[in-house]
Amino acid sequence: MKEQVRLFGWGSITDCEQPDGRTEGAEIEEPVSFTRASLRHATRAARLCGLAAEQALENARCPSQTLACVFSSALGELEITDQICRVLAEQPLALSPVLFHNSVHNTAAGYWSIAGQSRNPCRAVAAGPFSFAMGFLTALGQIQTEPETPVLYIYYEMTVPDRFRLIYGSPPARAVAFILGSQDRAGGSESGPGPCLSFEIETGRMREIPDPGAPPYPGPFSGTGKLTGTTLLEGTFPLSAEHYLTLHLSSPDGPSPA
Amino acid sequence: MLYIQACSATASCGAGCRELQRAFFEEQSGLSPWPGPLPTYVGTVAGLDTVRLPDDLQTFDCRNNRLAEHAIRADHFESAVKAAADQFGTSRIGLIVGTSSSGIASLEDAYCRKRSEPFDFSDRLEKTFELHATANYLKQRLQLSGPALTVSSACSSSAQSLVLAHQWMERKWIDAAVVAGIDSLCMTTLFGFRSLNLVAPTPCRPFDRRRAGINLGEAAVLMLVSNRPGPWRLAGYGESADAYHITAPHPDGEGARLAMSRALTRAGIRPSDIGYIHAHGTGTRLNDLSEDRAISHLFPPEIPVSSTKGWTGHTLGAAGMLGALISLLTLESGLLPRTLNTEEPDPGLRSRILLEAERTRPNYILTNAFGFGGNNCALIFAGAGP
Repeated sequence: MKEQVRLFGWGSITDCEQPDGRTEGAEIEEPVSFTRASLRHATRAARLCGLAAEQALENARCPSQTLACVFSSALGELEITDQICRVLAEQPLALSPVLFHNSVHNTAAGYWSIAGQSRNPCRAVAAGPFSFAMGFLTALGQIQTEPETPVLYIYYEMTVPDRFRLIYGSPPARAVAFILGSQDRAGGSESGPGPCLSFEIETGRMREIPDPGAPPYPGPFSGTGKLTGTTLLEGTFPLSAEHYLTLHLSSPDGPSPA
Repeated sequence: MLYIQACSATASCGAGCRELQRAFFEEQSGLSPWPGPLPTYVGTVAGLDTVRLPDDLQTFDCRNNRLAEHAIRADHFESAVKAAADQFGTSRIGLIVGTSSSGIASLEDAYCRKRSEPFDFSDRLEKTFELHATANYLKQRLQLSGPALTVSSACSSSAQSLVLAHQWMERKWIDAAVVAGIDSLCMTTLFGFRSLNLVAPTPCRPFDRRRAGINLGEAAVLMLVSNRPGPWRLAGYGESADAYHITAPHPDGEGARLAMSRALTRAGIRPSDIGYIHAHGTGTRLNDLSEDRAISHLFPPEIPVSSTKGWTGHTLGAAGMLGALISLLTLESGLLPRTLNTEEPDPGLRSRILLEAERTRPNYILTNAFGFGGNNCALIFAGAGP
C-alpha cells in the first residue's frame, strides 16, 4: 500500500578528506547552533550531523523547536568506542567522563536536541546494513502517529578507526538530513509544503543490488536509491533481506504518483 | 492498540517471571559486591558462563546474546513466538531491541587480548559487538523475518522500543512484534559511570537521604505484543527530550513531566487514575530529585511511588522493558513493591515513596525511563480492559 508524506528540506554533508583518504585530525566546521559548551565536547559525528541538520532547516525554513528527531547509524560513535576500549585495556580508572558520555549511540542526537531546543521525542536507532531504510521507516512511523509534528531524520556513518578498515572499508564520513512532515500539514514550515514523497514497504528480495562486493558499511546507501541532486530519495532501499522501502518523489503541483 | 501476549525475562534477582515475582514478594535483592577493581555492588545474572547458544548459532556467542538466550528459555518464549508465527506469518512479526551497549564487552575483551593492529575479528562483529548484533541473534534464533530495529537511546532505549512497536502496528506495517530490552554488564559502563562519580559503593538506596549513586545491573526482557486482545495493554505512552544537558537531567524535571503528561493525555486518563508509579529512581542525587519534582508537580501526593533498582540494579538500556514487566507483574499480583534498601526518604522530596510494600489493585500503572541526552519515556499499562 502506497503512503505519502511531504519533504520540507534536506541537507547532505561529506567530511573533508585528506589526500590519503584519511579524515583524522582535520577539523569539522562548527555548527552555528551549538553552544560553546557543546562545541568543547561534541564528537565529530555530532558536528557532522549538526551541520546536516542546519542545512536541512535552512532549506525548509522550519523552526527547529517544532521537530521530533530520529538519528540512525550502523556504527555510530565507533571512533569513541575504540578510544574507550584502548583506555580500558591499559588503565581503566583513567577513563574520562567526556569520553564515556560521548560513547552512547544517541550522542549526536543529544547534542542536536540541545542545539535545536526541541522537547519532542528523539530517538537513536541502528539496523546494521539496513540502518538507512529502517531509520527512515522509524521517522515515517513517527510522522503518521503525530501528524502535527514534523520529523528531522538524520542518517550518518563516520570513517572507521584504522583497525576496523579491513572489515568496514574506509568511505568518507557522511551525514544526510531530511525534514519530513505529514501530507496534510505544513508543520510550521514557512516555505509551504515541499514535494510529495510516496513510500511503500515491499516484500521480496530487491530486484537489483548495484555492488554486492562493496563493504557492508556505510553501504546502507546501497540499493538502487540515490540521495543527491535532482533524484534525491528516489529508488529502493533494503529494510531487511526480505523487505525493501520504495521511495518516489513528485512535485506538489504535478500528478499524484498513485 | 498494543496488547502484551507473553513475557520472558531474566535479571539478577530471578530468571523467569515467576522467580522475579517471588523475589518481589520475598524481598530478595539480586545485588552483590562486584568482584572487579571498583568498590560497588552489581546485579549479575548467575549462570551466564554456562549458557550455550544453539549449535548452529555458536558464532553469535557473547555475553549479551547469552543473556538473550537465558531470557528466551526462562519462560518458554519460543513457543509463544511460534504460535504467533503460525497466526500472522513470520514476515508480519517485527523485532525491536532496546540496548545501550549491546555486545561491547566482547570488543573490550578483544582489545585486552590483542593490543596490536589490525584486528582479526573477521565476520563476527555483526553477530557480537555491533549495536544490532543481539537483534541479529534474536532474528535467527526466533526465525523472524519482519522488519528488525535496534533502538539505542541510552537508558530509555527499550521503553522507546515498545512505543515503536505500537506505532508500526497502528500503521499496519506489522501485526505483532517481539520487543526486547537487553543490556549486559561491561567495563565501559562500570568505569564510565565511575568517571562521572555516579557509582555507589553500597547497595543503592533510591530516594534515600543518604543515596550515593547507582549499582549497575544486567537484564534481558522479551515481550510478544500484537494488536489482538491479550492479558495486558499499553494504555498510553509519552516521550520528550530535555534539550538541556548531555548527561544531567533538568533540575525541575521538565522533560520528565512532559513525557508523563503526554502519556496521560494519550491514555485519556487523569493523573489520579494512576494507581502506582514505578519510578526510574536510579539512586543518583540529581536524577531522583528531578524525577520527584516532575511527579509531584503532576500527580496528587497520595499516589504511591517506588523504585526497584534495589532488586536489579540499573539495567540501562533494558531498564525501560524491565520497568514495563514489573508493571505487568504488579497489575497481576496487586503487590506494589517497596523501595528496597531505602530507609529514610530525602526530606527534600515531595512524592510518597513506598518504604513498605502495599497491596492494592491499581487500574493503571505508570513507569518511567530516562536517559543520557535528556531522553524521557513514560509508559502506562492496564489490564485488558473494556
